[in-house]
Amino acid sequence: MKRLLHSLQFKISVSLFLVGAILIAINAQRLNARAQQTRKMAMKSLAFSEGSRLSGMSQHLMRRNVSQAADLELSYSSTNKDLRLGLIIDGKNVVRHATMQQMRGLNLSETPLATVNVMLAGVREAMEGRVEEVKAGRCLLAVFPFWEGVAQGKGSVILEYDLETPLAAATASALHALLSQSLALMGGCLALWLLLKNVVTDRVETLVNQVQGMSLETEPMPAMRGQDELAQVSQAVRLTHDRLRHSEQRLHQIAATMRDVFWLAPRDANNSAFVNDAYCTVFARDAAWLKQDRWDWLHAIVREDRRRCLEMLRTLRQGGPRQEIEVRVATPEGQLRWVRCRGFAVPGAEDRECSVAGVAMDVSERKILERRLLDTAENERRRIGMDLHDDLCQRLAAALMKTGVLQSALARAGGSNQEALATELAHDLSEATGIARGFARGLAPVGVEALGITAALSDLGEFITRGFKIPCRVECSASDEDLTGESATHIFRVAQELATNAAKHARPSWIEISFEMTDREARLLVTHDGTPYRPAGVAVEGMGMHLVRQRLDALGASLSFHPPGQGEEPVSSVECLIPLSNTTEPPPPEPV
Amino acid sequence: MSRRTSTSSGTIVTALLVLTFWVAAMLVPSPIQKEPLRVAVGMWPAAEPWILAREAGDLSSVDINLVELNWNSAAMRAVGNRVVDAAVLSLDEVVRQIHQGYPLKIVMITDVSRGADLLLTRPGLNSIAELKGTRIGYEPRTSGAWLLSRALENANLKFSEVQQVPLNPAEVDEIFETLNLDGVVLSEPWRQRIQALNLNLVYDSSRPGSEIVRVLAVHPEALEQHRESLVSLIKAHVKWMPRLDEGGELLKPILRRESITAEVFQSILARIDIVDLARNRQLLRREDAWLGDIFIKIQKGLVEDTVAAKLIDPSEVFDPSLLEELP
Repeated sequence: MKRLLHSLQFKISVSLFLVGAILIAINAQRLNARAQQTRKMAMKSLAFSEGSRLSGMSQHLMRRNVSQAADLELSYSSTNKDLRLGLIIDGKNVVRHATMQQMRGLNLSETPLATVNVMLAGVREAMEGRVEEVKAGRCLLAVFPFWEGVAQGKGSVILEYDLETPLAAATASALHALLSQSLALMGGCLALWLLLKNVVTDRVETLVNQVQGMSLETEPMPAMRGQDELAQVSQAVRLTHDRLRHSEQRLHQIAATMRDVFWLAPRDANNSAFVNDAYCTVFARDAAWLKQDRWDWLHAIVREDRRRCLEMLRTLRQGGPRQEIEVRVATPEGQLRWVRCRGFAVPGAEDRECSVAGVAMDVSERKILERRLLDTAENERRRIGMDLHDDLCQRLAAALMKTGVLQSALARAGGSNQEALATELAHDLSEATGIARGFARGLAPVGVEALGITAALSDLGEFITRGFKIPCRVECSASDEDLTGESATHIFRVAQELATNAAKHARPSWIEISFEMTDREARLLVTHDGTPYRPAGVAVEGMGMHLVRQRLDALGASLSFHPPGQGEEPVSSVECLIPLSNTTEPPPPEPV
Repeated sequence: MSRRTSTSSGTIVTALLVLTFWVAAMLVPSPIQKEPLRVAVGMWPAAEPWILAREAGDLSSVDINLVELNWNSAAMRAVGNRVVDAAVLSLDEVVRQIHQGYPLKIVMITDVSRGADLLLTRPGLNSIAELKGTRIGYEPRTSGAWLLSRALENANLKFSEVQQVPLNPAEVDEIFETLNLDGVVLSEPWRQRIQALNLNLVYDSSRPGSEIVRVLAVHPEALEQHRESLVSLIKAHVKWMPRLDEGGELLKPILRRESITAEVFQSILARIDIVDLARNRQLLRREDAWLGDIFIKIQKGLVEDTVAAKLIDPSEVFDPSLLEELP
C-alpha cells in the first residue's frame, strides 16, 4: 500500500483527479451563477413584457367597459407556473381582476400583495412600470400603471412571480452538470490509472528488475521492446550490462594471470574486499575468508608491520597521496615473505571516506639479493679494512720506523740539513698511519662484533672528531648483549652514514650520536646544529642513503627527519626506530 | 502466474469501472423542472371545491396550478392545445374535443346539472316554439350549444330555424341589448348577473334527456406525468364538495368570486347533482351503463359541424384508475 501511494501511477492519477475536481467545482459554481443570472434575466424580461401587455390591455378594455376580456387575459397569464398572483387594481386600490378570482372586489391591502404599496406609489408617481426583485432570490414583482377609464384614475397591474423554483431549477442543472462531469472525471482518472499501470508502472518495475539483476555472473535480462523512452532506457541498460560484463571478464582474466595481488577495499564496511587469485599465493591465506572477515589479511602480516599497514590504510581512506610500504608476511610454514604494498585512494561519489585499492607484490627475492649485496659489501669493507690494517698500516709503520732510523743516522752524521726533512717525513708517515688505521677501523669495525655497539659508536665519534675536526659526542645506553652481531653492524653502519653525512654536508659546529634501547625497540638519534637535511625522493637519493634504507629494511626499522621548527633552536635530528624481536603484540587493528 | 492472474482481474475490474462511470456520466438523467398540473376551472359551482381546497392549503401551487378560465370554449382550446393539462368540461364538450382529434380522458365526474343550465328568452317569448326565427345567443361548441339543440329538438325545431349568435356567457349582461338578442343559453351563476334583464326561463337541463354531465377531462400525457397531483385533485374535490353546503365564512371567497349571495349559491347547488366517489367509480367502471349511454347518445346527437364518422367506445375515454387509488 505504501509503495502504491508513492508510485507515479497513484500520484499522477490522484493529482489529475484533484485538479479535475477543482476545475469541475469552479465550473459548476460559475455555471450555477450564470444559469441563475440567465433565469433571472429571463424572468424579468417575461415580467416586463407581461406587465406591459396587461397594463396596456387593461387601459383599453376598462375604458370600453369589457372587463371580461381582462379576466381571460389574466387567466392565460396564470398558465405560467411561475406567476403566483396577478392583480389588476383600479385607482382606489380595489381589485378589479385577479388570477384568483375570489380576490375580486378586495382592497389591495387585503390581498397577499399588500406590501407592494411603497413600490406602487413610486410607479404611480412616475407612471412608469418597474420590475424588482423584492426578496433576494425568492420573489419578483412587476408593477405597471395604466390610465383607468374616462376619470383618468391610476390603475395598476401587479404580478408576483416565484423566483425560488426557477433558480432551484438552475442550480439543479448546474448540479447535474457537476455530477455528470464528476462521473466522467472518475472514469477518466481510472482510465489514466490503467494506462499508467500498463505503460509506466509495470514497465518501470521490469526496468528496475533488469537493473537489479545486472549481475556479472548472470546473463542480462532481455530488453523491453518498443521505441518509447522506457524501452530505450531498457535497451541502453542491456547494452551497458553487456559492456560491463565484457570489461569485467577482461579484468578478471588479467587479475587471474597477475602474480601480484590486486586488491580493492570498498568504503562500505559491509562489503568484503576484492582480491585476485594471487592473494592466496602471496599472503598464503584463502581469499574466501575475506568474505567472513575483511581484516583476515592482517593476520598474515607480522605483528611489527601491522601498524604501518593500518596507518597507510587510514591515510588512504582520508584521501591521502599514494602510499608504498614493505611489510613482512608470515606463512603458516613459518617462512617470512617480503611484500611491497602500493595503495591509492579511490574517491567516492560523495565527499566522504574513499575506497582503497592497490597492488601487493612479493619482493622477497629482491630482499634476499639486497641482503646478500649488503653482506657482500660489508665483507668487502672488512677485507679492505683488514688489508689496510694488516698491509698498508704495517708498511707505513715499518716506513715510520725506518724513517726514525734514518733520522738517527742523519743526526749522527751531523752537519747535514737532511735531519729536519727526515723529521718532517716521520711526522707525515705517523699521520698517514693514523689515517689509514682510522679508515681501516671504519671499514672493518671489529669493535662492533668484538667490543659491542657502545665501543664502536664511541670509536665512530672519535673518528668524526678527529677526521672532520667537528666535536662529536656519543651517548649510548644500550646493552651490547641484546643486539645480535648483524643487527649491531647494521645500526652502526646507519649511525656511521648519518653522522658522516652531517659532518660532510651540514657544516655543523657539533654532532651528537645517541643510542638507547628498551625492551620493545632501539632508538638511534643523530643530532647536529648544521643545515637541516631535506630528504628528497627515494629515487634521487644518493648511494649512501640508499644503503641506509636497505639496512633499515633489513632491520624493519623506520627513519624520520626532524628539522628545527620555526623560531626554535637550529638543531636538526634524524631518528631511527628499530623494533626488537621480543616486541609484544600490538593492539588489535582499528577499523580503517 | 497467480500474480499475473490477479493483475488481469484487477485490470478487468478497473476497466469495467471506467465503462460504468462513463456510461453513468452519459445517462445521468437531466434535471426536469417540475411543472405543476395546470387545471382550467371555470365559473361553475362544482369546480369551487378546488378553490376552497387551495384557500385551505390542501392544493399546493407548486403541484397544482388552477387556471381560472371563465369561458368554456377557452378552456376547451386550452386543454386541447395542452396549455392546461386538465379542465372541467361537460360531456358533450369532451366528445367534441375527442372528435376534433384531442384524445382526452375522463377521470372523474364532478356533477350532473339538473336545472343549472338554462335557456332564457326576453319577455314576450314564453315557449320554445316561439323561438323560430329569433336571435339566440350561445357559446358555440359548448354545453350551451348542446342544451339549445336539446331544447329545439323538443319543440321540433331545427337548429337552423333560429339565428345563432355566438357569445360568451360572461359578456351577456353587457351585450344582450347591443346584439338585439331574443334569447340566450347560460349556465349558473351567469344567470344571476343578468337578473336586471328580467328574462324568461323556457328550458333547462332538468328536462329528461337534457341533463348535462360535467367531468374532469385530462390530457393523456398529463395522466402519466401528473398522476399524483391528479389523485390529490380528486381527493380535494371529494373532501371539499360536501362542505359547500356548510355556508358561512367558508363560502365567502366563492361568493366573492361568483358575485352571488349565499342563498343564490345554495339554490344553484340544489339544481346540481353531486356525484360521490362510489358513484364515480360505478359510472367510470361502467358498472352502471348510464354514463356510457349518454356518451354514445351525445356522439350520435351532435348537430353542429362535428361529424361522428366513427363512434368512440366509452371505455376508450373513461379512466377510473385514479379513482381506484383513492381509499
